[in-house]
This record gives sequence, C-alpha cells and structure tokens, in this order.
Amino acid sequence: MMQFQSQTPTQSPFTALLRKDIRLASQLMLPALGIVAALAVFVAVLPLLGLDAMRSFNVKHTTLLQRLEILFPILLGMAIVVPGWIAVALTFGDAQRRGSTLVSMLPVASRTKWISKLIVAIACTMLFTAFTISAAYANPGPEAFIFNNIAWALGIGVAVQLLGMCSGFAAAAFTRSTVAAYVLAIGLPIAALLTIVALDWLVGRSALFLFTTSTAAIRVELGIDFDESPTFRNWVRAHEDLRQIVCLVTLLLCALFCAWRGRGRVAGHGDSTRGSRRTLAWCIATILFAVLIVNSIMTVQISSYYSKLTTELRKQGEHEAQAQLKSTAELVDESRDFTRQFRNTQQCEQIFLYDYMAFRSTTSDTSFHPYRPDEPARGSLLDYYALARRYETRPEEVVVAFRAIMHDSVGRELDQRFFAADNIGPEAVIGVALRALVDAATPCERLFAIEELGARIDLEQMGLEMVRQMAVMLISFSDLPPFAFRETDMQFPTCGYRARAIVLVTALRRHCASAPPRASEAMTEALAEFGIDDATLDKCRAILEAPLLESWEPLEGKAAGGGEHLLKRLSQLKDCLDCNGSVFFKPAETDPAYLIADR
Amino acid sequence: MPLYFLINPNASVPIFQQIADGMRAAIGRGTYAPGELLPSVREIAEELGVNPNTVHKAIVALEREGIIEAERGKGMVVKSGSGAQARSASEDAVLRHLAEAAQLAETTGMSEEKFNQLVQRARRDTASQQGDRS
Amino acid sequence: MTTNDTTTSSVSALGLECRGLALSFGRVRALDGFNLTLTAGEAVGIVGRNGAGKSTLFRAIIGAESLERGTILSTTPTLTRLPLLARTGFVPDTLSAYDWMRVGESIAYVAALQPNFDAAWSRELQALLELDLDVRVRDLSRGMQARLAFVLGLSHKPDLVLLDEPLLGVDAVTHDAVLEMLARMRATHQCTMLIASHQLGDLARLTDRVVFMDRGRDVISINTDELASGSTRLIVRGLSLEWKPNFDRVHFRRQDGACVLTLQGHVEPAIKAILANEPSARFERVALSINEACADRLRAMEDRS
Repeated sequence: MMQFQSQTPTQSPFTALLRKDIRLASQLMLPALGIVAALAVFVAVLPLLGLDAMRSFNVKHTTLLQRLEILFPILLGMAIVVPGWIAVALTFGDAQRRGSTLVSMLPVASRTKWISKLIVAIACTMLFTAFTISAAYANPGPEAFIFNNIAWALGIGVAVQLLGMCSGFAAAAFTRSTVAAYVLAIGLPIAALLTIVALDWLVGRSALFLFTTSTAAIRVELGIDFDESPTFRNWVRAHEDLRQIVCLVTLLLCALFCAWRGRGRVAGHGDSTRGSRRTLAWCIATILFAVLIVNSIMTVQISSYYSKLTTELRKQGEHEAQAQLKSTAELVDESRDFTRQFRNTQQCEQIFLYDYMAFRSTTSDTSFHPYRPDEPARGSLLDYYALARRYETRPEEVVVAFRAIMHDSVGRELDQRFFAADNIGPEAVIGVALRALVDAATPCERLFAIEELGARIDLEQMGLEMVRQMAVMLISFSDLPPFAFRETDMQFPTCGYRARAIVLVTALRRHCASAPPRASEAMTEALAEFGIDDATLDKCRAILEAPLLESWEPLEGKAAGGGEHLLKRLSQLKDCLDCNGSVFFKPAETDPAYLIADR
Repeated sequence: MPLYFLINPNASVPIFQQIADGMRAAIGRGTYAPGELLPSVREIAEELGVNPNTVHKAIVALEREGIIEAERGKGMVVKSGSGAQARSASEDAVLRHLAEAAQLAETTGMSEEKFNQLVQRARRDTASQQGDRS
Repeated sequence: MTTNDTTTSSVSALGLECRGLALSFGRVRALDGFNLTLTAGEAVGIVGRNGAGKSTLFRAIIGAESLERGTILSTTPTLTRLPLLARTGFVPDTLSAYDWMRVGESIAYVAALQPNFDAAWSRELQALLELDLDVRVRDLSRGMQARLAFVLGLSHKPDLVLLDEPLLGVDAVTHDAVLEMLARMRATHQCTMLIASHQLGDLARLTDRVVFMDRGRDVISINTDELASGSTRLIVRGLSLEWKPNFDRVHFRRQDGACVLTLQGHVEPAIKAILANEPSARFERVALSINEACADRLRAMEDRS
C-alpha cells in the first residue's frame, strides 16, 4: 500500500535542477574565471615589471582601468568560445560521471531539464559579455558611451554568443565523445560561417545561372551581352543583401532546430546521434530547398522587371547601332546637352539672377543623373556611352574633335569648350579659362572663367580643401609664396573662386618667369597652345583685380520685382565681385607678389 | 519469532515446498504447539528474504493439508491434533521422495540390498550435516 | 492474498505491458519483438546471456531509449510518462549519480525531483544499508555504490520496481541486507517487480516467474517453482554414436562419451522411450540446481536459433 507521507522538501524541483547545472557549469567556469582573474592581476602589476614590459604590450595608459583595455581581445575570444564550451559541459555533465540514467529516471520533463541548462548557459554567456564590454569601456573617452555602439555590441555580440551556445548544445547531441563535442562546439560556428559564405556563392552563382538561362531568349533577340551590361549587373546585386540574410536566417534556424532536437537527450545514447544525423539531413535538405525557392522567386522578379525594360533594351541597342555609323565629331556633339548661351546678354542676365546653381552645374564636371525614358535624345546617358565606346576604338579621333571644339571660340559656347577641354586635361581647361577671361564677350563668361580657374588649383599644401566635390583634375605648384585669405570674405563661394584664381594666375606668372619651371610641362605647352604669354597673364591679373561689373543697378532693378531671394543672391555676388581682388588677402601674411597696390 | 528452518534457494526443490516442509516439520516436532499463532506471511517473507506470494503458497498448501487453519482477526494457527497429522504428512513426503528413488533404482537394475544400504548412507550423511549445523 | 496485517487492496499497484518492442543500435538488434506482461503485484525475473537486451529493456521502460516499434503501457491505470516515472523505481546495474556530489546531496537531489519521496522510508533504507552521507560519490566502493543506487531508486516507495542486475559483484553482507529490504518492500507495499539477474537463487526467492530472454526476444516464461524442479539431468551411457533424442523439451549434448540430457517434465517416459530403442542404456540421474537448470535452458535457446 502506498502512503504519501508529507515531506518537507528543501527545494523545488526546478531549483534542484538549477543548482545541479550551476555546479556543473562552475566546474568549467571557475578555471575560466581564474584565467580572467590572473590576467587582471597581471595587468595590475604590469607597471612593476618595468617600462619594457609596458612598451611590449603597447600600453600607453597609466591607470589600472585604462590598462584593462589590453584584456579586451582575450576576453572577446573567451566570450565567443566559452558559451559553446559551457553548453557542451552542461550536456555532458549529465552523461559523464554516470549521471545519464539518473537524468532519465526522474519524473522531470526533458524541456524543464533543458530550460535549466539554457538559463545557466545564458547566465555564463552574459557574464563574459559583461567582462568584455567592461574591458572595452574601461577607458572611456568622450565618444565611448554612444548608445548605438553599445547596442550594436550587445546585439551582435549576444547573437554570436547565443549561436555559439546553440552550436555547443547541438555538438553535444551529435557525438558520444566529450572531446569531439568540445571540438565541434568551436568548429560548428566556423563551419557555419564558411557555409554562409559558400551558400552566398552558391545562391549567387545559381541566381546568375538561372538569370542568364531565363533571359537567353531576350539576349539572342536583342544581341546584347547581359553580363557586360552594367545596368543588369546592378540588378542582380540589388538582391545581394536579401541573399545573405536568407542564408544567415536559414542557418540560424537550422542550428536552433538541431539544438532543440538535441535537448534533453543526453549524449552517450545511440538515440541522440541517430536523431541528430536525421536532423542534419533534414537541415541540408531544407537549406537546398530554401535556396531553390528563393532563387526561383528572385528569377521571377527579375524576369518580370525585364519585360518592362525590353523596350528600353531595344532602344539602347538601336541607339548603339546607329552610333556606330556616326562620325566622331557628331558623337562628341551629341554627347552633351549644352543649353547655356553665355554670349547672349539677356541669357547672361538670367544666369546671374536665376540660374546660379544651374550655371555652376553646367561646368565641366558632369553629374550623371539617372536614366529617364523621357530625356531628350541628345546629351543622354546613351549618347555618353556611345562616345565612350568610340573612345575605346578610335581615341585619337575623339581627342582631335575635342581639341577642335576647345579652340573654337566663334562657333561654340564657353561651357562646350570647357567640357571639351576637361576631356583633354586640367591644363587645357586653364588655357580656355585664361583666354576667356581676356576675350570675354559678356560678364558671365568672365565669371565662368574665374570659377574654373579658382577650382583648378590644388591648395592642399596650404591647408585649403578642394572647392568641388566631384573628382576634378587639379594643377599643383611647388613652392608657392605664402598667403592667407581673410575668412570673413571667403564665406560665399564666389569670393573663394576669385581669390584662388588670383593665386593661380600669380603662380603661373612666376612659373613662366623662372628658369626651372615650377609647374608641369603640360602646363607650359597648354599656355603656348592658347597663346598665353606674360603680358596676357598680367592682363588676366588686372581683370581679376578689377570689379566684374561697372554697375550693378540694372541687375538690381530686374531683381527687385523677383523676390527676396534674388536680391539676397545678387548682394552676395556683389560682395565678392564688386571689390578689388587684393582685398581678399591678409596683407601681413601674404607675399606682395599676389597683391596689386591700390592706385 | 525466529524461524526454525532455512531454505536453499539454489536447490531443485521449489522454495514454497521447502517452506511448507520446514513448517510442517516444525509443527510435527512440536515447535509450534497446537493453537499457537504462526508468524505472519509478511514476517516469514522478510525473515527468509523471499517473495510473499511464495510464502502464501506454502501456507495455503499447509491449510489444504488441514494442518493449520485461519482464525478470524488473528492469523494462522496450528490446528489441534495436527501434530500427528504433520508428522504423518512428513512421512508421506519422505515416502514420496523414497518412491522416486526406488523407481530409479529399479530402472537401473539395483538390488534391494544395495538400495537399503544407500538409504542408510543417506541418513548418516544428513545426520552428520545436521550435527554440523547445530 | 491474506496476510496477518490489516489488508488494503492493492489499488496502487501497477501493471506493465510491453508489446512488440523493437530497438536497434546500428546493426545490433537490442530488442527484437519483445513482449512482456506484468500483472499488478507480480514479481518477474528476467534471465539471459550478456547482450540479450536486458539493460536495453529497462532503459526503454523508463524512457531513456526511444523505441523504433512497440508500446510500453502501464495498466490500471494507463499513465503518461512522467506520472509513471513518479511511481517507478529503477536500480541500474551501475550507480548513476553525479561524481562530485556527496551521498547526502545525491539523495537530496532525488528528493527534490521525486514528488513521492518518502523521507522516513528513505532514512530507514539508509540505516538498513548503512550509508555514510558525507562521502563523495566518486569515493564510494562498489558495494556502497550498489547501496546508494537502491536508496536513490527506491526512496519514493515505488509501485513498480525495476532492478537491473542490482547485486552484481556485491559483497555478502550487502547482498543479505538488500534481499531483506526487497522482501520487505514486496510484503509491505505489494509493489510490482521486474528483476534482471544472473543470480538465479535470488530470482527463485523473489519472483513468481522467470522470463528467458535471448537476442532481444522473450523466449519462454517459467514459474519460479518449476525452474529447477521442472528440470532433471540424465547422464546416459551406452548409447550408439548417432543417437539423438526424439522428444521435446530436452537439451542434449555429448560429453566424454556420455550423453547429457536435461529434461523438463517427468523423466520416466523419456527413460522408457530410450530403453525401448537402446536397451543397453545406463542412466544416472542428477538433481539440478537452479543455476544449472537455467544454464541448460539458455544453451537450448541458443542452439535452437
């Protein structure tokens, strides 16, 4: 007969499990913590070992907290390794030491046993995470406690460590041998990483393969080699992030699933390895299946977008075919849309008043805008591509065509000439600018020239940045005499351009006057090509010194009806262009060569 | 109460038989007097370290022989006048064993003299063993 | 079953039914269609060669191994796994406990996880088996390990007791103490028992019947009373060289020119049958101990397959 005697249990079942797992984990944690403590002690006594020791560790810090930073890499490594280690120890702690049957014969649900192990493993993981973060932030600078950084460290770090822990549990489920499980606990995350990389490659290759196969018909029809076409390469790449995330998530899910299947099954029984091998087989099958599905989806998406672009493709193909038949001069002409008329006085006024930004953007650095189907046939991206193709096959013709435009001050507007010169080189641009400065028909031509001159000189050696964001070829001079700009006057960009232009012209003047040249040979040749001599340079300097306009009133009158912003813009221009050029320099710090004394 | 017999688990005789024989012999000797309360099944089982079912079988056998009976509220008691019955039952048991031996002797063609010699020798050997034990 | 104590019906005793159990480890078939029915309150012994699958059977019953085929059910009532484990006590052949715990801590661990743990009964067991609570498990001698295994497995007064060769290589004093304790449990709690053992004398004392197991299968079940008494060995001389027994339930081998027959059932018909064909046969009859009888049965099982 059964008698249920009332007993007074000293602890609840879950507490008993937790205590057991804590003791199991501590058998591994204590040595690890011992290592950490020993390292901390070592770091603490480092100064006592002498300066040489400190130098060999590359330690510049003096306080203990600062020195703790050395430990960061070691602790980081431990924080990645320890979770998997602990997970294996917890699982095998029940199998080793003959605990396995005891585990099975007690009426405790296996998920309860597993949850207890999980809690202990997570606690140990968190402990090492805390150590690592403490070491990293032991020497906090002002930027250290940025919330985002900490959040990222926690998020990524914890994710990596949880992955390590799952792999530890999974490793224990895969094998009967303790040693093998520990090796697997390290090896599995590495294998996972390699698998992600391999999967990424696999998915990418198969996507490309599916992609080329499914679009083969279009390729044949249009005679286009898609692999070469940059537009479509960007397409396939657009899905790269998605691919990697899919691989990572699939792998994580598989790892968790393997770990779940391995839970509660204490290693040492044939059953768990059998179950785990089955799980692994399922995982591989799932991954391959998922890869197939994802690729199919991507392919479908790509092809549907393709059909939209087929007309565009055809247009591009036709365009290129026609471009092959045109002369180089024609291609050059069509490659750029030039709408500015600088010699037209009315247009010049418009540029001054309204189109300042547009005015600047029609200079020779072309900012490519995205391809739009409604763009004019001229000056579009396709035309530019056609020109680029011609340059690949017959470069000399292209250069000759550009040169012709560059020197054609009668038939071409200034922006066209600058564009052509830009394709030759910065020296040519300067040549065009200097010529235009002297021969300008309208003030805005002169202003355009000033801007180009100012933008083309490299003043980094003097601590001044480039004025244009786009990569532009610059001229440098060695051994420039010292100068300093007056900051207040430099706030509006036009002032800066003008001041720099003065520096450039002065430097060219010195260059021409000196026996060993201070600039490149190309510069000398360009000056000769455009017929710029000392007298011309002096003339340029005089033009730069003088105010740009004789009177601003007509413009101001026109601006008055336009609004607040027009007046503001005009006043800014006036500040920069209405004064003498020398005004921009600080006389005390500037070499007199740059300045022209007041009359 | 101590039991006055032992069992040999490795013997070929079933244990319940050994228990029944032992109890019967004790009753026949007068160790358990008529009307005396016998140890309970549980006590016997614990003392001998045997299956209570086995003990129960032995008790039932003895009850069927009429040597012991159940008394309400108390347990199994020795029936009065069962001493002689027990002895005779023991005799029956010995006779049964002897009959088997005699049959075997017959089949092997042993002479009666030889058989009696063997019976004597068996008695002597057992007596000396008992002597060792006591 | 009448006892001298006030009886309570064995409401709480458990039966067990194993049907068609199959389990393999790789290519080895540990259980190959095993069947066993334990009625409530019954004590059954399991006998078999090493590797016959006895340990696997026990592990399957407590759920440490999962079966490929077959069912294990408790009867009256049918319990799910955890309630069944709460009423089952398992004593394995080697102690299963954490090396780094002390004896007392191990018992406390089990106490926390067994809902039916009976502290008084456990103390009684510990006293009976003379356990020292302060020794670490890894420092225990073999006999002490066996005793601790009993305490850990039986402290919760289980209704179903599973013993897997519990007295293997155990000293005589421990042996007696344990048998006494098991008999007491049987007498007091009427628990159902399943014992695997090579010690047939122990099985003879404790069980109602014995099941012979060979290569994962249950071969035959024999009432304990008939284990030895049912078998007789005949040594027959003077038989012709090609002679073979032509009747059932006999184990036969030749040894040193004689034929050794182990028979179940009555001997006389067999003797008569032999004499009928071989009148010059000479017989010697040997009373078999239980061990010898079972060994011959096991040999017979092997020979048959």
